[in-house]
Amino acid sequence: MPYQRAALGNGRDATTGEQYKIAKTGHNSTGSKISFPCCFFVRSAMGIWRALTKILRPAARRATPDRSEKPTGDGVEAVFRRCADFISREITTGGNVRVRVFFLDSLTSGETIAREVLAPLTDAGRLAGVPAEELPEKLLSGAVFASSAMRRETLGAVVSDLLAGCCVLVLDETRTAVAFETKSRDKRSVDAPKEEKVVKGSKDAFTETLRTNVALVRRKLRSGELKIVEFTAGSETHTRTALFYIDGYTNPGIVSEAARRLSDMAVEGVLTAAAVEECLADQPRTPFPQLLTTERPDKFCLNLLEGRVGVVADGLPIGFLAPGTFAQFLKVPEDAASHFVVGTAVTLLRCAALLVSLLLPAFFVAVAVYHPEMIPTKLLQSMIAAKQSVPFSAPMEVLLMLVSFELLQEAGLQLPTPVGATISIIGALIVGQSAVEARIVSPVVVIVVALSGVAGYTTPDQDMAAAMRLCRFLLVLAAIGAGMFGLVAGLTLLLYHLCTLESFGVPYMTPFVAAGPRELLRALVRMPLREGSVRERALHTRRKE
Amino acid sequence: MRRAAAFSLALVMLLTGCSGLRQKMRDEADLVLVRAVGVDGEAGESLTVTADTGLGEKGEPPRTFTASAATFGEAVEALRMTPECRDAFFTHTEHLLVGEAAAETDLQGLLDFVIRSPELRLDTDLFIMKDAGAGETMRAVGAGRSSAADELSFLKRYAARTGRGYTVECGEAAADMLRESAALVPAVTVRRSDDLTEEESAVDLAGMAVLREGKLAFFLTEEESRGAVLLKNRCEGAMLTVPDERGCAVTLRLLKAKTTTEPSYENGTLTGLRLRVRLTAGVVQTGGYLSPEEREVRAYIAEKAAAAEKEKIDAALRRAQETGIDFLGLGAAIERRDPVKFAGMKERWDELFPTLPVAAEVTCTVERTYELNTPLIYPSP
Repeated sequence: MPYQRAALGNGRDATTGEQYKIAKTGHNSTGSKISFPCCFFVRSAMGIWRALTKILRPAARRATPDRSEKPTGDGVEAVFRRCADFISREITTGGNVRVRVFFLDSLTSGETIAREVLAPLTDAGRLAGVPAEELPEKLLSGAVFASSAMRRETLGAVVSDLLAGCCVLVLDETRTAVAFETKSRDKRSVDAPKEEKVVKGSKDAFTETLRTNVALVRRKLRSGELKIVEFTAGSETHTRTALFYIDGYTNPGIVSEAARRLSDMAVEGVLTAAAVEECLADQPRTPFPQLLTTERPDKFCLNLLEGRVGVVADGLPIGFLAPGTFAQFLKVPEDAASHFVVGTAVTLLRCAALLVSLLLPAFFVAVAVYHPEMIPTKLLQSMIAAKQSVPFSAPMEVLLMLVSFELLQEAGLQLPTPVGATISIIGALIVGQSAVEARIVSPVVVIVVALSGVAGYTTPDQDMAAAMRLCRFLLVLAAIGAGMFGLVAGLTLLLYHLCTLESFGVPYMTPFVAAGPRELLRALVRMPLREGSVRERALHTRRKE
Repeated sequence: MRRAAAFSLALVMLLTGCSGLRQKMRDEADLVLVRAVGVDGEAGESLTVTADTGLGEKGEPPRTFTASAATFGEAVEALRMTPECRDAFFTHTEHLLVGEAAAETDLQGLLDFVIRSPELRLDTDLFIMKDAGAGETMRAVGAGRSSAADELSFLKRYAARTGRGYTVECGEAAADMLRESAALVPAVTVRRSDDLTEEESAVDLAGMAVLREGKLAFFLTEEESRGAVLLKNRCEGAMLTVPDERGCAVTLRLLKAKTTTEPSYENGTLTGLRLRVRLTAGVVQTGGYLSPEEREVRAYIAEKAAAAEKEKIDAALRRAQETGIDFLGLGAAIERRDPVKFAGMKERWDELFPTLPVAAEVTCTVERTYELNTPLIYPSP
């Protein structure tokens, strides 16, 4: 059998067209007669089995042909059965050879196919007297005008080409196929980044089209050393992914590991960023991001120059960078774009804001509940006065406000932009003020939570900010449980966890650990560019300076 | 590794006594923030502790709570047993006001409790009440528009500017008594003036009090207090008025005082002590015709000022030698200068000190001819 037949039930052999209905006729595939009791049991068993297989196996797989076999027109049609955008056309070439042309209307340009493939193919003068055996060679050697033509020997390759926007010509006589590049040019234009603000930098951002993204990177890194390796990921989506690295800079070990992980991606579809992140991350269970993500090609290129590898997937307007280290999540390309003193000050401010965002609510709870002696007298007096007739304890107030803050944020994200902004204003101004006036929460708690939330927004990476928000909750719980001791214990555990993480063999906390003072200084201080760039030692780049 | 970390944390928690942390949980709303504590009691009687919360955030009148017991520690605990003061929080106690009778009975016990208590702080200011009880003063002050805690806070800020005293923390007083067997602490008294109504009272600085062997020994006069303040170099901002040659007043502000001790020896025996007191002052006001910009004028004013202050320093030294109590810390100053030589006479210092010839030499320098820190135009009330 050239194709995998559906195990049981109503199916159709793609090669012979034989219709087999074992259970209904009481005959097996060999046609032998079965006695009545046997027939009863067999029919019953078959019925149960059929019901089970209907439930357990996706319908699309029941008649899927073997994709390692040679390509045939029927095989291709079997794969794309019930696909409305699948176009199959049988034509006779100028040499009087019958061929079948397939393409997906949604991914290809009909005009290009007609002009560059069908017109020369049916031109009697061009392919006159060319027999079926010689036709593929003729096509590959320029008989058609398509910019790219590739011979395909397996059905799987044909399917991949069709899904990539090619037009495929199949010769059933010789069971060969030729694919022509006829992609549709419908795509989103390059736009300014929406998630990452740019003040002094290039105003272009990645799009959903892989080729465009490759072009954006190429235009910034005009070097032959920039290598781009393509992979196909997703058993169902067949998404093309590209691995970027600079040969001579990047550690070959990191490159080969990234290539291995990309080729081993065991997912059905690469439709979300998480699919790439979880497959490439060393420890997908931790909430801390291990891959830098950016929609800015300039940031992507800066990191490639630092010795990282980059990954871009078709359909995702995001670039992924590895190895991701903690310090990298606090940096933005604007630091490099501004004066080094300003860049340093902003970096330090961001670090302080991260600490405030993470620790302030927990510190407040610990101090208010267990260590009020640490609060200045005047402030404590004011807090006590504000706390009168508030029904909740300080920990409950903080938890309530943190949850409310998250709710408002989530509501603002889920709603369309104008409504989302309104929700934020309503939440911040009206609900907050009303809650204080109604004595549901005390003003100090509102200030603490708001300050913590605002400080959290300075974290450039949203995944890191989300992880920090999660840790903020855990630290508050630790502080409720054991005051300052709980806070310190929680912080110790958090640091312990962060120190155990690695990304592509690089310690996550580099350069705060496993690095010299110079590197540590460079993590916090933006040095003048004329002093040259020093690549992180932990990346083991080939070129150090 | 995770199990090891969890085990270590649990162990640390048990070892450090953190397992009892839950008992320390407090709800802010219930806290009664005590800002000043008054102590009264005669010899042989129980001690009475009065806690004062100070004025509220929006000027609400202070609350005072009272409890009595045999010792200070017990009285504080008894205070907590009263229904309205169950969540009394003593950590923010800024001032400890001790009645004259209680101070004469046992001040050492009070300081010992402050030192040992995890709640009370060593930097709590210590005041001795002169001619009145601490509790009754606190209640009297609280009946008006202010509170004892706020009045004492005001005194703390401006004590040095009066030139009659300075504030001393409990820890400092205890350390002085341990090191020099005597200590100086500020004394306060009840003030009744025209700007106060009949029900209102305020507290005022009444010079310094001398502690000896854990008890109140005596109060210094205003002149002696000023001399002691100068010798202790704690007179920054104090005013000084001297007459000029035409009898007009010239007012100076003392900016700095520095005292150096120069012991003299003969055959290894201490024969005398010279104190060089160098004062630095600025001109606040003149009679109008003098020009302090001229060097001679400044020298004249400085000479007058030094002479005036020397009298007060001499008075303080005289009182110290007459009583035989080295509350000015002269022995400690000699020890800092010549530790080896003083070691031989340390045991006999109480005998040597009353008869030791001590001479003070006071010089003054007028550095500023204008008032730098006071604005020319005062804000309207």
